[in-house]
Order: sequence, then structure tokens, then C-alpha cells
Amino acid sequence: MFVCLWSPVWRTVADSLAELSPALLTVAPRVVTEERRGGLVWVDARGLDAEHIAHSALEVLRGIGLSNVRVGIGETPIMAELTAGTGNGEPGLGTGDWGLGQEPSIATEASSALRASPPSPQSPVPSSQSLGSLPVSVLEPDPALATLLDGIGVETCGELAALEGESVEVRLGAEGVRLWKLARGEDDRLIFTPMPRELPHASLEWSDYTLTDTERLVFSVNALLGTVCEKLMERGSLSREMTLDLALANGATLTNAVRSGRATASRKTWLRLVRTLLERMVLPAGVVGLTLRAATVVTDVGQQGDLFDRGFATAAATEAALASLAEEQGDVVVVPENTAHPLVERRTKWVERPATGDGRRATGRKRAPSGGLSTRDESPEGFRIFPVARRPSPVAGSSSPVSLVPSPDSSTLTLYLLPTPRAIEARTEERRDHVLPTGYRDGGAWYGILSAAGPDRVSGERWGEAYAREYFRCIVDDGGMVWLYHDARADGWYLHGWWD
Amino acid sequence: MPALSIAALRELIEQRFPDATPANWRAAEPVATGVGALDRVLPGGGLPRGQLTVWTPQGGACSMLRAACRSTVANGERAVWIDTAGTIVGAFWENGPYLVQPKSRQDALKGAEELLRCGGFALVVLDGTEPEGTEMVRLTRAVREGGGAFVAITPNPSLAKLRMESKIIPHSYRWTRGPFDDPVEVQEATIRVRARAAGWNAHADITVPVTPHDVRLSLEPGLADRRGLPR
Repeated sequence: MFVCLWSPVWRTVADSLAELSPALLTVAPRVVTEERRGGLVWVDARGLDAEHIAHSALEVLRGIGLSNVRVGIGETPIMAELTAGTGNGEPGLGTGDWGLGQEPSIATEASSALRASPPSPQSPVPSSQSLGSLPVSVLEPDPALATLLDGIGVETCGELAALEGESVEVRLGAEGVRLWKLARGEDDRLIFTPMPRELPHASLEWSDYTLTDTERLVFSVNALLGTVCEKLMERGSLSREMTLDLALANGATLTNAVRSGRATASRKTWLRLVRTLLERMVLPAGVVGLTLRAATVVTDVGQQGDLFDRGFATAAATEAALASLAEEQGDVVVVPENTAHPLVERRTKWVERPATGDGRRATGRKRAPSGGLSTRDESPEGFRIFPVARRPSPVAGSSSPVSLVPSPDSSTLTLYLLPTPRAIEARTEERRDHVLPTGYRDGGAWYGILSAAGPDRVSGERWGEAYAREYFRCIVDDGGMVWLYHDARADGWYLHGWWD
Repeated sequence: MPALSIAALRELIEQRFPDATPANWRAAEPVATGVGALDRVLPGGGLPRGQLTVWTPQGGACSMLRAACRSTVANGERAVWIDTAGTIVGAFWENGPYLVQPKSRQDALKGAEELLRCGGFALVVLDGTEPEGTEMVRLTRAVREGGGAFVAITPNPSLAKLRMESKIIPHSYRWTRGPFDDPVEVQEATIRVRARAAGWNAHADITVPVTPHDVRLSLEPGLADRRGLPR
């Protein structure tokens, strides 16, 4: 319930309405003042005994010299506001001048007569006991809209509320719809802003000694983590960032942020992160106090799944392991982003593997998951691993976008590359317009080439770092197949890769 | 409860939940590689769970293990390939298994231990890092704890439950030939795989296709390409 207070004589007592707030806060949890309509004071009675609070507010105001105060109670702000402004909720008393044009009836006590209710869904038009017969002007329409309403013969809130929404939207526009909703008692104004919940925190202070030893600090932080993580779990929340304040003996405070790769309430994870932080920290003085608070908190969204799915039982553990890997080593779980660059070693950019929500690989954000994948989670909370899918059914034409990728049921010899091509010494023989390698020396050992295919010539970058290579696929006498190239610019031979 | 009733109950559960597996499935069922000929030479029909397998890095190891990773994923489980040396070619990396590229040998070992211990991966392949001594002991403990199959591509076979060797037979390559009878494209090759464990020694010759490489040629193969060369 909203309680609205209005008086024509606010200014005789207080220069600012805000000066009334301290007194009213003794009887209500939240008070908001508004300069509109000559001054409105809102009292938050949601979830409380509204009539009792209204009585108490009137008593408080009377105590500071305000006896002619009207009060309105409503389930929506507009209901409370109009009830307060029109006096006792009785129709006909309120006018367009908000009661100032005539002697207003003074509400000296809150009664059930002041309570206004929004129209029920069955009868959307406000009853005569509420807003139905009030003139439209109490809703403070725009002058142009007021003229329009007057032109179509709509004089009261009841008449406006009786119109069809679609008609109002077409004929009166957005402002008309807003007024139409108010006439129906619908008001979604945010009078009282939501109060943020206090984030879990814990602190510890001592004065007899100072701590500089990392292990002892970790021991103390561990105790604080127990409290904070327990509070997080009680709230069904996870934290992505915590703040650790170290109060030093010299009066300074060191504030450090500890971030986790994924939101978690795991004490073990946070302890590991805090330990890493403290081990790297150089303290200018001894520590005499610790404060740990969860800085970023998200809701722990539980996942439902098939209890008989093999992956479901291990999803959380896998998620935690991958997140731990990401925290310690960075983006090491990767997928390739391939381009059409002629040089194979410049064709791929490895990017962090996106969360797929299924515990299996997806080859980048642009590709659709293969058959058998079901749920896809795009939440930004790092790795989210959910049940793996069951055996996918073969789908015709569902081959990978890269035709080079083998099918799941076969093994193939595939090319692997050295991170950097390795210079080798090669024996060659002439063949038509090129030379063909017949053997090469790598690492002090000579390898004979049984057969070679090529050259596959690749060149480019006229404006940048030019390259011109002649690639050969060579079968070596030990059975391996290697990828050699002749650098036509530098006239050198290189081992670039092998098939395995 | 009579044994007959338990058997009936088990049968009923198996009928009702055909995809459900017993709680000890991780310890009981090896990880099939998806390559029939290879599975036949492996004791139990697959890579053992909860134990270390060492595959000597010669020809064909990666092709077999990548097939095993794909098969694992196709069976609804997770597989991860730890590529320490960074030799995987992006254009040839297939959809499905996780790929981890650690920045150092130590990171690779720590990552492998973490992924093994979490128990979420049915198959973990460590490539490009050769664990030694206590490192191998730690990894062996982790894989036992996690219950997945762990294959290290390394010549060091200590603590391995299963030892694998493979080698491409040199004269087994089959080529397509050009108009001058020059070899143009490799079609397939045969890999000889040998599996050794306590009381087990088996081998098989497996013929596998060769993934066509994708060099983007600038000109026709028979013509000399002079672009990029100094004039």
C-alpha cells in the first residue's frame, strides 16, 4: 500500500518538504517527497499496516503543527494520490485545481473511507466510490490532450477508463494511453527506488600484534571466507569478485580485488585465489585488520537435467576445473578461427572457447553445434557446463563446414605444424622446372625421401613481407610423411610439418 | 530381498532407462576409440579408465587418438586434447573435443592433473609434454581419482598400464599419379599398431586415409610462380 499525504499549508511549517522526512521516518521505513501538486509526501506502507502508519503519520505531523493534512491510501500511487487530493475519497470534492480552488475537507484521521482500490479486472472502470466520477483534469493531462478529450466528450476518469485501449492508442497517442492507464488505477511509477541488499561481508581486527606472515594472513582470511561463502550460499548467490581490505599498522588500508573466472561460492576456490594474491603482495607494514566483502554477486541459477545422463553428474566438476584452468593460465581452452590466408601458419587465430552449455565443443560462436547438442547457454558467467548430450543421431548433410575435418568414425593422418619452420639441409635433384628433394638433414641425422609430391607453390604479400614457397609432401624412409618447403626468396629449405 | 527380485528390478531399470549406466561404469567400461581394428587389439576393447596409457610418439599416434576423442564425444562424453607444443593446425581441428594449449610444460602438467582429477573427461590426451618421475606419479594418481582414460604421448613408459606403439609402414602409401606418373596426392597409408599390457600383446595393421592438405595455390601447379620474388 502507498500512503500519500497532502496539505495546502506545508510551507507554513517547513521551507522544504524534505524537512518533514526525519519526523515521518519515525513511523515509516521510507519517506519520499515530491514537489508536484503543491507538495506530496509519500510514505511506504507496502507489506505493513497502512492505516496504522497513516494514523501515526498524521499524529506526527500534528505534533509539529500541521493539522490540516489529507491522507490517501491506495494500492497504486495514483489511487493514493487522488484520494489524498480530492478529500476523503469522496467523489465530487476534488477539482482540477487539486482542492485549492475551494475549501478542502481536512482529513484528521485515516479511515477506511480514505482507502482507494484499483478497479478489479472484472470491472476495469473505477467505481463511483473510487476514481470513476472524478474529472479527467485531476490526472493533469497535457493541454492539447485535455482539449481533445473535451472534444470527444470524455469528462470523467470513468468515461476515459471505459474506452478501449486500442482506440485510445490510435486516437490519443502515447500520452493518451498513459492517462487512460491512470484513469484505470494503473500506475507503475517507481515512487520508492529498490533498496539494494547488503552484500555478504566479514571483518576481523586485532590490536595486540601485527601480521606480516602470508600463511597467518591466509589462515585469518580463511575464517572470513567461511562466513562470506556461507552467507552467499544461504542467499542462493555466487560471487564473481571479492574485495579484501587490509588495515595496516601505519593507519593505511590496502584494498585488493580478487576475481574469479566464474561466479562461485566455493570457499576452496576463493581461498586459492586469495592465497595467490597474498603470496604476491609486498606489505609496507604489519596487518591489524581484515575485511572481506563480496563485491559482485549473481544469482545461482540451478540447472535441471537428466539424472541418467552420464555427463550430468560431472558437469559442475568439469565447469570448475575449466574455470580454474582459465584463472591460472588464461585463455588456454581454445577453438580455431580460420581465415583464407595462403600460409597455413597464419590462417588460424586461436580464441577462447565460448560457453556452449552442453559440456562439449562448439567450434566458435559462428558455427552451429553439431547434432546431438541441445541446450546452449550464452550466459557471461564463464564456463557453464551442463549435461552432455546423448549419442547424436546421424543426420544427412550434417558434415562440418570445413570439409577437411574427418568424420567421427574414422582416423586420418592429419597435418601438424612446427611452431616455427625449421631450417634443414636438403639434397635435391632436377625435375623439369623445379628441384625435388631426395633427402634432408635435420638435427644431425639424414633422412632419405622415398617419394615426394609437389611443388605446391604459394606466394604473396607484394606490399608486405613477401613470401614465395614451394611445398613438397615427402615420404621419409622411416615411414613418416613430412612437409618441406623451399623458400624461393632466400633459397633455403625448411621442415614445416608432418602428418601423424 | 531375494536375488531373483534384484535381477528383475535391474532388468526393469535397464528397460525403462536404456541409456542409464551403473554407478561403477567409469571403472568398468573402457573408452572405445571408435576404430574397430584398434579396439580389437586393446585389452577390454578400449582405452582403460582410471589408468595411464602411454603411446610412443611415432607415426599414427595422433590420428588414432584424435579418432578416439571424436568417438568419445560422439558417445556423449567429454574428451580433451592438451597440445603443449602448439602443433595442432586450426584448419584441421575437428568439432567436438576440448583443445587446451598451455603456455608452458608446467602449465600443461598442472592442467592435465586438474582435468584428470575433476572426473568430467572420459579421455584426456597429453601431447607435447613428456612427464617424468614424480610428475608421472601425480598424473597417475589424478587419473585414478578422476576415473577417465589418460593417454600420454611420450616415449617414457613408466607406470603405464597399457603401452602403445604405432608406426606408418613406409611402402604402404597409396598415391594418385599425374600425367607424368609423378605422385600427386596421398590417398591412404597403413599404420601398424601394437598394444602391450600385463599378459597382453596384440597388434593390427590399420589403413587410414590421409587428410588432403589445403594449400591455396597461387597459380596452376605446373607453372612457375614468380610472385613475391625479387624482380
